[in-house]
Amino acid sequence: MSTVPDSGGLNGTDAVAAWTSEQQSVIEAYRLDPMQADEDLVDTLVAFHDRDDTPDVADVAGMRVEATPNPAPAIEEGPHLQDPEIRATKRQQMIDAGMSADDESLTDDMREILREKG
Amino acid sequence: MGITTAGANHALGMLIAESLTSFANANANVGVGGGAGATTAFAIAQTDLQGASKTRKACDSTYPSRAAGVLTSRATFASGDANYVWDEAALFNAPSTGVMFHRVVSAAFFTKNAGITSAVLTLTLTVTPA
Repeated sequence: MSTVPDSGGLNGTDAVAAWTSEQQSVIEAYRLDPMQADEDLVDTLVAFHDRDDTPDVADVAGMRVEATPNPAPAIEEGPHLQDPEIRATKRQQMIDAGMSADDESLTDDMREILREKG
Repeated sequence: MGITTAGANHALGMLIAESLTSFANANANVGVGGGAGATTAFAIAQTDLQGASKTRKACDSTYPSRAAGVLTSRATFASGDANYVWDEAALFNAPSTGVMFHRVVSAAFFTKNAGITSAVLTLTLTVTPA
C-alpha cells in the first residue's frame, strides 16, 4: 500500500485574508463610543465595509481550507449617526482621510455626511 | 503526507474485524496544529500532531467518505476554534488520543483568526495498490 499526494490547486503559501483582531477592536470601539475615534478609524471602517466576503481558499496536496470572513457589520447604521456633533466629527475625519462624496466605494450614509456643510 | 504505522496497523486490524474504533463519522476527528514543532516533517512513528497548539473537531456530516481510492475527511472550525497559524493537519478516530491515521504538513498553510466565521478543512488521502 502506498500513498500519493492529491493534486493541489492554489499555492499553499497563499495566506487566507482575514480581519485582524486589531481591526475588529477598532470597529467595536467605534460602535460602543463613536466619539472615541482615532485617526485610523475611517480607513478601517471603509476597508471593513468594502471587503470581499467571499470565502478564501488555501490549497496544497491533501489539504484544503475554505474560510469565510465574518460578515461586514452595518457600521453606518444606528441612532448615533443622527447626532449632529458625531456627524460633524465623522465628516471631518473623512475629509482628513481624503475622501469625497463622489467616492463610490463609500456607503450612501457616508457620502451623505460628506455632502453636509461643515 | 503519509499514513502512520499506527494507522496502517489499525487498518489491518479492521480488515480482520478486530475490536477497534473505526474512522466512521461518529468517531472521526480532523485535527490541526500550529506553533513550535508543527512543521516537523511527517514520520510514520508519529501518533499525534506535533505542534504546541492542537485542535480537533468532529468531522462534518457524511465525512469521512470514500470514492475509489480517495478518502476525504472534512471538519468545520468555528470563529473561536484554532485561532493560530496552521502548519499541519491529521485524521483521528477520537476527539483526544485515539489513532492518528494520516498527517499532512505545510508550513504556514493557513492563518486562522477571530475574523473568520468558519474555516472548512478538507483532507484527502489517496491510496493506490502497489
